[in-house]
Amino acid sequence: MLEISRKKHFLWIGIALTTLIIYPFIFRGSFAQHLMIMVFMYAALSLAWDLIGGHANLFSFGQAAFFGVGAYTSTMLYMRLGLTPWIGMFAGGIMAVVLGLIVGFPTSKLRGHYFAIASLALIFVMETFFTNWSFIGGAQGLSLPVVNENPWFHLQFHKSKIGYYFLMMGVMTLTIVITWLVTRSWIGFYLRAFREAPDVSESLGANNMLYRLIAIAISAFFTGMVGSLYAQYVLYIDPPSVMGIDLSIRVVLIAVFGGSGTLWGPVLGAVILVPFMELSRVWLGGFGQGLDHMLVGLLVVILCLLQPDGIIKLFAHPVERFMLGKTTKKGAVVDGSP
Amino acid sequence: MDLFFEALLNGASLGMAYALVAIGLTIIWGVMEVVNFAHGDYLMVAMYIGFFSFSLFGIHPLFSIPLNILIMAGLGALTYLRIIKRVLKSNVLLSQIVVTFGVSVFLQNFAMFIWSPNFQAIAEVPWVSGSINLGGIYISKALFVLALVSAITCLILVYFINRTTTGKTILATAMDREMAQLVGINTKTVELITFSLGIAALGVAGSGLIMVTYVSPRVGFLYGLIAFTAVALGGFGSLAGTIIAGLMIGITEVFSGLYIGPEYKYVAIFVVYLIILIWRPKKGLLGW
Repeated sequence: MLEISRKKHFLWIGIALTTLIIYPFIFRGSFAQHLMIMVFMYAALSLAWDLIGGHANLFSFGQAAFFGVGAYTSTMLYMRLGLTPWIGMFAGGIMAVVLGLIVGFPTSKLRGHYFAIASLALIFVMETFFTNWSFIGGAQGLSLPVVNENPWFHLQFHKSKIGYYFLMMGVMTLTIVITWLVTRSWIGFYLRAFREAPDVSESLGANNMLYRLIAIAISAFFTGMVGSLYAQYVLYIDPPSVMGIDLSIRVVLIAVFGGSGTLWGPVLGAVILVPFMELSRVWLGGFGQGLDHMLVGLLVVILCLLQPDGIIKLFAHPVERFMLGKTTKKGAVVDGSP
Repeated sequence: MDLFFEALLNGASLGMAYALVAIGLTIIWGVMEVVNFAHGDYLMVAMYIGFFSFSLFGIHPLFSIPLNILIMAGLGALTYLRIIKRVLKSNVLLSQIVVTFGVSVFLQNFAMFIWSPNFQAIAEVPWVSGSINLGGIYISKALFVLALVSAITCLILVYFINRTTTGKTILATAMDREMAQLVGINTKTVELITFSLGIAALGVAGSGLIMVTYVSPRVGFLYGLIAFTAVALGGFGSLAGTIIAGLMIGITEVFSGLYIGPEYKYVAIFVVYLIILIWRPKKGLLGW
């Protein structure tokens, strides 16, 4: 039974991958490609968030801080030292991990809402510091110099977006694979044990703090990496756009919308919600400010009322759905079985 | 030294307003265990109501308070009946957190759509412009009135919850929902009253705050964050803790703005929050 379903999964993944690889050669319009780049980006970000938020149940709004640190690190390395963003990308991820550990250590005793508010505060503090730090551009932000030659060294593609498309897709795929491996490994079990019964797992000798920090570090690394790529893509970063609360909220909404605690939920959320946001921005932008986000807010409220476990539950196997309904009320789930 | 006391008085006045904003959040949490992340955005709506009743109809903010309370209570009741009540039924923790975020995003952009993203403020509020002299310490009249109104409202709320029958049912539901149901309390009605009450308190705060500061669609985020911090600092569900934390935050804000630099005043608040929570991670100051 398991073998068949696993084969089937690989078949579906293969089909999806092929479609994604062919996509940019069929849809050459820059908006169609931009749309997919944003989908990849938010899918990777929501997946990274879900490792903390869905699996460890630490409701974090701090993702934008990791994203911003990644973006600023690679951009500063590139502008000041001329380092290729390939290295900058990993440096950005590592700086985000450092930040995650610095913040994760003192907050390691906080749970639930206390942690959520601490992470909100983190964003606020980081944005304030970056806005007032003139060495890294302050409130003006940083504009990356436009370079036309040697696109793969500078990671700047000005003729078409295909380069960005595949880079972002690569990072997303990497995030999916690593998340899959982590949630299936012993780390994932410890995280879920912590989520379901923190005190019990602690009393059984699980080192919750260690696994929390591991989850935060992995999540921060990918978020920082995506941040670096984003900086390469838009070529302009300033604190509100890469560290603002809006980014964090969007990431959380997408993950929960899709179905948190699952592997494909956040991806599905990005696939549905990101085009919705981008298209409503384009179509409704002319009617006045805010209308597009109003719709997003409304959509989220409606979804929470009608399908509180996330969209993914609509696609879950009937048997799985039945068993889930029996075993757990929270969003626990089809971990590992994609 | 005068400067010190002036800062203390200003901070405490501001803190009183924060306490009023946070107190609604804390009773909602106490009864429903829902953190209303849209709290700041409801406050923003209340501030707009105060602003427009002055600029369109010439109603002084102090007199728009009753109207504001009514509108906000209605809005709160509507939100509870249409959204919160239903989402509480589903028992999924994440959607309970996210749904108020959806409301927040909606309200913020609704305000941006119909009232434009511009900053708006009442240039000169009649009767309360200028400042008063309290034995060599100066404080702006508007801020003083705001503190007074907030303090009175907080006292009324605390009295209502601790001394009246309705208030006691709220307390009982917050302490033990099942026991409350056993002794015949209709917890759904209590939830409705609590949510309306918490949002209605923002009506007072909105009308009061518009006397001293500006309003824009984005302003809700900051006030909301300060209110969450106050609630968490005081300990979720503790009224006295929330009021103390509100005062602490106001004083911290003014002092750090004065001695460290105005751009870091909110950073200082969150540093205080973190320090206190590292010290008492599961309770805050007075949580139970």
